[in-house]
This record gives sequence, C-alpha cells and structure tokens, in this order.
Amino acid sequence: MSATPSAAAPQSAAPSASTLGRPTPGQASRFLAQATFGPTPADIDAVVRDGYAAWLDAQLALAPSQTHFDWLLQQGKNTEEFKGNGINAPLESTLWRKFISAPDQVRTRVAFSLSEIFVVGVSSITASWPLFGAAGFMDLLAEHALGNYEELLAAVSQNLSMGCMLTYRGNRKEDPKTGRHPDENYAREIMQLFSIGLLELEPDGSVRMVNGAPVETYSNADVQGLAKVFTGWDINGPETDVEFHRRPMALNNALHSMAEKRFLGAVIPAGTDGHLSLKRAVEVISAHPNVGPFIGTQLIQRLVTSNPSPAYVGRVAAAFDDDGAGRRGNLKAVVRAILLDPEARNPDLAAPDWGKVREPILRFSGWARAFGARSVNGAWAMPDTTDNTIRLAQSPMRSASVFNFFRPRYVPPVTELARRNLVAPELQITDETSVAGYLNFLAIYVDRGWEDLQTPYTAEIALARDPAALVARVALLLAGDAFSGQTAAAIAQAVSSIPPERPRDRVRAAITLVAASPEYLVQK
Amino acid sequence: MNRGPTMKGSSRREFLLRACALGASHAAAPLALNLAALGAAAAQSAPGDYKALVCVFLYGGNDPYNSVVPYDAAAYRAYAQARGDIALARDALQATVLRGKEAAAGGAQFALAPSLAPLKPLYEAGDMAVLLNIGPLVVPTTKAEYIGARVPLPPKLFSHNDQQSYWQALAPEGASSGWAGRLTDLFAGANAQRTFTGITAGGSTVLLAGRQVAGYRVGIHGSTRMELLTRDMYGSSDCTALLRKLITQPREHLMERELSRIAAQSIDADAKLRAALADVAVPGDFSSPLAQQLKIVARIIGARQALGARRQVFFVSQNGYDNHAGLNDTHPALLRELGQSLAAFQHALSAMGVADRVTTFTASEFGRTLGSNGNGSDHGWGSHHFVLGGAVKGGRYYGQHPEIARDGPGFVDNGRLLPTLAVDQLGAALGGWFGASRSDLALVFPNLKHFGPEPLALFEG
Repeated sequence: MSATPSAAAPQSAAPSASTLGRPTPGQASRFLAQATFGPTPADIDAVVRDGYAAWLDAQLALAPSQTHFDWLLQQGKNTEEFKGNGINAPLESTLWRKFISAPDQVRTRVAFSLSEIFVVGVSSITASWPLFGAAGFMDLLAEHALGNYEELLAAVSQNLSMGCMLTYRGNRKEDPKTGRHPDENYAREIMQLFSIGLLELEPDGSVRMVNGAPVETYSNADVQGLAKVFTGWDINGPETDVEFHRRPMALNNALHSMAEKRFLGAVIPAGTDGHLSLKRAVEVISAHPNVGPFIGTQLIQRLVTSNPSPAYVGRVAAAFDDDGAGRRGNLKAVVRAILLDPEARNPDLAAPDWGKVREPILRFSGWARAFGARSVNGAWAMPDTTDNTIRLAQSPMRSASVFNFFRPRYVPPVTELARRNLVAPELQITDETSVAGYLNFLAIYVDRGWEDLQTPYTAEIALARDPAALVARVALLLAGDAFSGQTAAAIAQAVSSIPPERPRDRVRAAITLVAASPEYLVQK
Repeated sequence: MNRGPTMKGSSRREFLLRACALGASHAAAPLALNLAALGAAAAQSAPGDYKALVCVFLYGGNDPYNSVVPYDAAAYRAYAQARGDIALARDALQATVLRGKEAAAGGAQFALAPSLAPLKPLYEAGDMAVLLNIGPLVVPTTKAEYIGARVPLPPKLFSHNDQQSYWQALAPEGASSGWAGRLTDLFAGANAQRTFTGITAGGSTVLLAGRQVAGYRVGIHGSTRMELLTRDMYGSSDCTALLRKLITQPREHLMERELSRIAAQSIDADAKLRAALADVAVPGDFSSPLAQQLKIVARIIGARQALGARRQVFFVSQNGYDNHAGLNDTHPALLRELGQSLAAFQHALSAMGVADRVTTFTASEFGRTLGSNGNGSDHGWGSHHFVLGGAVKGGRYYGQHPEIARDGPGFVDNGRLLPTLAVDQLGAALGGWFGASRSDLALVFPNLKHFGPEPLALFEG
C-alpha cells in the first residue's frame, strides 16, 4: 500500500462541501468504513486513485456474488443434521464469509443494513433447515439492495422466513361465525417498521405537526383492513429439499379474505384475489410519502451517522422519490446519494455529535478486512457472537425480535445526547457488561484469529520496528482520518515498550489499543 | 460511579419538572407545583432499613385472558365463546382456581393458567395480589371518549416498543428517564453507591434511568471483568495502563463520552460487586433463563450491606410473549417459567429473611385481543398483572374485570381491554411503599392526579 504512514495525519484540509476532490488515504478509509465491511489497503488505494464516485459506481455495477444459499449447498449443509432448529452454525460461516471477503462489498453491506430494518431472526423460522431460510432471506435482501424498493417490499412480503417471523404464514381469513379475525402482526409491522413508521414525516424526516401535534400514520382500523391482505399465504412445496426456502410463499385463495380491504385511504374491493391484493397493498404502502425519509434516515444511520441533518435526509429522500430519471424507489440512487453526500464526505470531524457508534459486527469485520484475515481452509468457522460477556453482544440474523438489536430512535438516557435530543442506536446494546465482553473478544481474535480465520499481519510486522509508522497504518486502516495524532503517539510510545524482537506482539498491542479506543469505536 | 455533584433542592426540582414534562402526554395539562413539599424529600430511610422493587417485564405483550382466566360459570361461558380455539379448557383450571382473602367484585371467580400453579399458594397465603385490567392511561377513559378521541390518550397505543417505553417511563420510545429511576432519585442519599441503585439483569431499559445514572447492567453471574486489565498486555504494563486510560478518559465527542463513562463504570462496579458477591449464595432451583436473572437479583439483595444499599430497583425480563400464532403451544411454557421463577425467588427471599423488604411486579407492553386470529391473539391494551411480596396485601384482586364481550363497553377496537387501572397508579403504590411522599409521587407520576385522591392500597398498614 502506498503512502500509508503519513496518511494518518488527522487534520488534513477538507475540500469544500460542493466538490468531492481526490480523497486522501485517510478520507478514502473513512468512506470505505461507511460503504463496506471495512477498508482494505487495496480498496483505499483504489478510492484514492479513482475517486469516490468512480469507485462506488464500479461497485454498484457488480453482479451479486455467490449467494449464501448456494454456498451452503456447495458445502453440503442441506442434510438431516441441519434440518431442525439447532445451532445453525454454518449460517455464521457464510454470513461472515461474505462480510469479510465478498467482492460486491457495497451490495453486501447494504443488504446487511436492510437486515436490520427488515428483521428476521433464524430462531423464529418455523420450517425445516432454518439456516437456509435465513441465508435465503439475506440473499433476497442482497438481490434487491440496489434495486427497487417496491419490488423489495413485495419479495420480503412473500418470503417464507418473514412469514414465520411475523406469523402470517398459514394466516386464515376472518370467520364471522366464530369471530376469528386475521393475524394482524405483519400488517402492523410492515407499516411501523418496514415502510412508513408511526408518524407522518416531512420530506426532510422531521415529524409533521398539525395544530402543534404529530399525526399518526395509521389506526387500528388500517391494521385490521391490511391484515386481510396477508391471509392465505404459506410454504410453497414439500419440505423434502431446501428449495422451498427460495420460492415465494404460495397462495391458497380459499384461505384468503375476499372481503373489502381498507387501509391508508385505499380500498381493495371485495372479491379481489390474494396475488392482486398483495400487489396493490405493496403499491399503496410504497407510494406513501413517508417511505423516502423513513427508510432513507435509517439507511443513513446504518451506513454513515446517527443524527443526519434534515437537509441530508431531504436530499436522500428526494433521490428516493426521483432517481433523476423519474423513477421512484431506486435504491441504487439512494445508496449513491447517501455515500456521496457532502455531509458524509466532508463532515466536521471535530463535531461532538457527528458519526455513529460502530456496531460490534462491523468491528470484527473491520479487523478481518484491514489485516487480510481469511479462512485458511474455506470453512469460516465463526461462532454465534450474541454472548455479551466474551463476544459481540450482536450476531447477524440473530436479533431477538423484529425490533432489531437496537432501535433507530434510541436515546441513551441520562446523557448529554439525550439533553440535546440526539439518538445513538448502537448504545442500546452498549452497557457495563458488553463493553467488557467486546474487549474480551477483541483480546482473543487480535491475538490468535478465530479458528480458521487467520492473518499473518505481514505488512504490519514489517513496520514493527517503527512504532509510529505501525500505529499510523493501524489507525488509517481502522479509523481513517478520524484518529487523533495525540492518541496515536501515546499508543506508539506504549507499544515501543514491547521489545522489537517481538514484532508480532507489537502489532497485536497496537491493534488492540486502537480498536479499544472510543475514537475508533465511534465511526466518523 | 458518581457523575455529578449532589443534587441540590432547586436542581432536583428542575429535573423532576423536566422529567414530568417529558413523561406527560403532549395533551396533558401543565403541572401544578407544590413547592412546599419539595424540600422535605431527602431523609426517607432510617439506618438498617432496606427496600427493593423488582420489575419482571414480559416482552411481547402477555395474553391476559390465558393467564388469569374467568372461571365462574357465566364468565367462563363468555370467555370460551369469545376465544374459540385459543380458550383454555375449564376442567384444566379447576386446580388453580384462586381462593383468596377477598372475593372479587360481583362474586367473580378467576383461575390462574394451569402452568402458573406455583403462584396459587402465594396468592392464597396473601403474598400475591392480582391487578385486573391495568394499562397506560393519561386520564380515566370511557369507550365513548376513546372512540371520539375526546380525552388525551397514551401515544402510539398497540406499538410494542412505544408501549414498553410507556410502561417503563410513561412516555413513548425516546423517553429519557423512567419512573423507577425518578423514584430512586428521591433516595439517592440512601445508598453508598448510586451505581447499585438501579440494576438490570434483563437488558436495556429506560425504567431505571434517573437524573444521575441509567440502570447498571449485570449478567446472570454478576459483573463481567475486562480480562485485558488483569495482566500486562504482551508483557507491557505501559500498554495495559494506556488501555485503561484510553477507554475511560473523558471525551468531547458525545458518543465517545458515553462509551468512556460506561467503561469506567464497568471497571469500578466490577471490582466492588465481585467482592460483595463472593460469599453470597442463594438457595433454590434457578435454572431457567428468567430464574437465573432473579437469582443474581437475590444474590445482590443478599449483598446489600456490603454494597451499602438501602433502596434498590431491579429489572429482569422474559421474551416471547408476542404470540400471534401458536398461543397454546408457546404460552404455557412461558408461564411455567414465569411461575416457577417467581415462586423460587419468593421462597429464596423468605429464606433470606427479606420477603417483606422486596416487592416484585410483572409488567408487559400490552394485553392482547380477546378474539382469536386462528391460533393466537393480537396486540391489545389493558392486561392483568401480579404483585408479590411479604408487604403486599395479597390474596386480593385490585381493579375490575369488565363483562366479557368483544364489543361491550369494557373493550375497544374489536376486543381490546380498555384499562380501568393506570400504570401510574401501580407505580405510585409501589413508590409510596418505597417511602416517597404523596407530593413527590405527584411529580414522578404526572398523571396520577387524574385518578382520584386515594392511592391504590396495595400494601399492609
């Protein structure tokens, strides 16, 4: 990698917000932390060489890499051993495999972000081979991550794993004789969590006030009306092989409500069949003016910053509403707008409220990518990282509920953040136990990798005789241009107390200290 | 770890006012101030006295009708007809019919779900009360007022996260303090260490957040040690010393500041709690996930003197109650875990001699629909809950159960219980037992004044 040691200089002059000039290595690294599962030396060089937009457009043009589902099949995991809902260990393998090594990093990162909005937990998948269900769901998100929102919502709504997660798989129409009503679960959460939220929003994401009060987007009557749409859907085909997980659920029109369906001001007339009702419902929801600011804000939060300015949200929502070619819901345009926005590219790095707490999953993937850790045998034997005392307190596709590991509007109580009406979603899983748990896990993987996931630290060991250069490289790779020279110097000095004859230990100590620092833990 | 100066009278009042403004519905009337009452809140506890509250949060929205089941013939008939395929069979309820100190209004009889059988002896010994139809309310509300939106209502009804927050903080998601945290602020001087005043073994919660600290998080074995700080990093004491400094030093960036504060508290509290818990054992079988949380709570209560604690609030939780489907497959197992855990906890407290010093209560974001959706129930509003402890005037029902009719006056939106007891009333009763004055309770629970002059008489004496 070129120009590494000097690139960690923290306070390079920012170009004006209107131009995205040639990035420095530090800026490129910070961009890659937002756009991928973590910077690599090669990607930093590429972004410096090509510029943000050209690098991003090349990423956005990449076809999806091998799916989780196909990899699991290739590894022969579609056997009796994995049919029940046990530990599902191969799911971890393929998820981390792509996080760490997939070439289509932007698509993979956006799909992961979507998995924290459209949440499925593997333990909720009440069908055989749940790991294939979860894998297939992440594949579905990747397929549509840079596509069209309405198509994404339609695909999610017909996915069996989501049908299990939100219990509308097997949901039956109303029965006036017994008083049975359709299950309301999905109807409520598709509106509250996957599309429009609870309150009407302005195009810039702020809450719309009418006569001094917010306006709720829907009532119980809307939920009950929409619930009729999600009746009659269930597993498509026998559970003799895993392929049913890739097929949209099948409709049994005999169980589908043919009653009139009223919601969000729309009316689906009595007698409309299930396929048409679903299509119409997804159209109505997707057309709601809240979708752009509601989904846009959350994608900004997952990729860039917890508290985007209203103007930033407004620009992203505008890209959702119209991609420049008159199309609504083009997620590729949304991702481009998020990552190339002047606020993302040239923020005030000294501002006390800019950025987001790096979620623990991204800390691990960031370490692996920065230092070239790869599976030495192709197994990718990663653990469930949910444990909060010696792991990450977070594990992909293992959220305990549809409300994700943390909420987008989480306000940490009793903090200056709360006083300033700022949110910090990732702090919802940050507590006295999990801060210790992260360091306990960090100490293990920096020291000796994890199972077959190993790095020789070759480039770092080459710098170990010069602790300042070593720390500069580590800081550049992990924190870009947002790591202070003062902290870097303190770390270099401490690392120099380890004898130069133990260069690998110097490297491990440098990485541990940078990765433990709050300056790193908040992604700028 | 104490993050701020001792609270002075005026700042305390400002905080309570701010907390109330946040807690109140935007539609609620401004607070009347009782300045005279504010001065005297400080010294509520005599030396040696100890009281603790334990919140058992049932995440997902517990189904009330299959927890506390109408049993007298007429009510059971209405229940069975309304619930259809998710009704519990009456025969199965015979062994858990509650026979308490007082009959329910109108001669109504209730049975616990069969899987809650371990709680029946506690009820009948007077150590457990049943709250009927409690939930978030801003003011007493009739069905006509709900339909016509003629009174202020709790915002975002039927939404999981917002109603969880309402139960814990009397405001929807985003609330910055919880009612138990505000309550413990009144007793900040009673504890040697503020850190150990509000403790959660059940995940992140706003319930415990007060002016100075949010809840302190423990695992089922207590605190978690940072192993890196127990040795020299690669033989370098310089590196270990720098690590300690880097992760704890105050920061300008607001998120970094919070990370540093949590890390510093983690280190400090681990040392103290580890030492205090070293010799504390608790008798009984605590094997389920919920029981393991209650066991560490019992152990910390056992260490109260070493920790210098006189007023504590604990939070534990159980997931899985959002039974839109498979209610009768899933729910009995959840209640079995709940009933066994609560009984084991209560027996342990008795053995420790503190049964009358600890009051435990269940909470959940909402009840569920009376009617079936095929094999489950959907989000509701009012629900039934339990309050346990030696100080509780138990063996009784508090509140009223309306006539069971999906479209009757006691239900809204097609079979969702309209609460007749407010969360504020429960909180204030618990707070009163804790030692808070009526005027302080009025500040901690801003809507309490709408629910009549008499507090809920949940406790003896």
